[in-house]
Amino acid sequence: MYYKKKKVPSYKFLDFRKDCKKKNRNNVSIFTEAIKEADKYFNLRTKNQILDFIYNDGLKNKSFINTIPWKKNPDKSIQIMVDAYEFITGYKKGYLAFMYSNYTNKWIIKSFHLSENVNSQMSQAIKKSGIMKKLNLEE
Amino acid sequence: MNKKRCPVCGSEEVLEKKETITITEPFAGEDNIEIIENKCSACESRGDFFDQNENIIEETIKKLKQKSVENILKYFIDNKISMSSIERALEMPQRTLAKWKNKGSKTSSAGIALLRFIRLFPWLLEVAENKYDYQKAENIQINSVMQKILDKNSFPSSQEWQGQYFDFEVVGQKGIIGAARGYGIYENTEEDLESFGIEITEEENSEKRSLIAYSAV
Repeated sequence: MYYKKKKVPSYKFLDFRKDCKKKNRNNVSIFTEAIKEADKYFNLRTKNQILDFIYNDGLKNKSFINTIPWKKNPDKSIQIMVDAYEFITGYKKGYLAFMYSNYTNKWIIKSFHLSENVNSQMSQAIKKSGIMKKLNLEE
Repeated sequence: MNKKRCPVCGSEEVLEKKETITITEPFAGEDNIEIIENKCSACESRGDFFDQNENIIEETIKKLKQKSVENILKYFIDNKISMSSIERALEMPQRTLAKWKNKGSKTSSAGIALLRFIRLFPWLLEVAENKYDYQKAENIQINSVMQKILDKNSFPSSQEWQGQYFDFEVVGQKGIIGAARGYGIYENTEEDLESFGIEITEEENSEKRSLIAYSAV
């Protein structure tokens, strides 16, 4: 592999958070998919709502997962790393992934959805039992 | 003049596509709006790169929220629950709801959330009337659940159960099952509704349902 997985984040979270502040928001972009999923899972419907949430410490018990190179980078000579975090909000465990582009000096929120690590064994067992379907709770 | 560049890879090959999305709000229905989505041909990133959609989405949400306030208050008026009685129960200044309804003052987010809760669970008003006493609140909630179970819409009538055995376990309430046993289990044949071989009418059936409710409570 060209890149190795790192155990420490590529970026300081505080730097990212700082640019989520209202006056710096031009420095942050959010991918369409991330906005859709933030709405679907967290009722955060707009860029402003998402960035307000991050800036105001909405990500509780935030824990760093990994940092990996952005797979779709067209120019591999300029490295763009993606930092991924898990967090808790209310009864939900979320997943946030963001990167910093050295091309444009902007932050990009790549993913914002439910964490897939939440009780994965339990959720698989629930899926297998079909109980969600029976209770009409399946999406 | 600044050229439009992809915020991720910096490429200038940014395409613009119009897309219709649906925004929904509880008790207000939905609204379709046209937004712009940018796509970078170089790195395939997709998003609203230049914040062109933010305003229209926020405005639409705001409009739908106001509509939901109006719809909720209309629902209460139609169901003979006056705005002044709601204001009194919730200890809100009089005329607050009228101002919200008539756009005299902007409904706060907390106000909208409160209205949605009482629209979903109107018995919360009774809880408020009883000064949020926990025991009374529990009783009000249980009564509400019992009424819901016995509601004709959720409790099958004899016509709906033609040719089938009446199974109280469907309701999933053990208390009712026990009570129901005291009044006999209904057996529904293809011809008519019978209870231990005695023909009963829908009216009698309805009466029995009420009795079951009483004994369960």
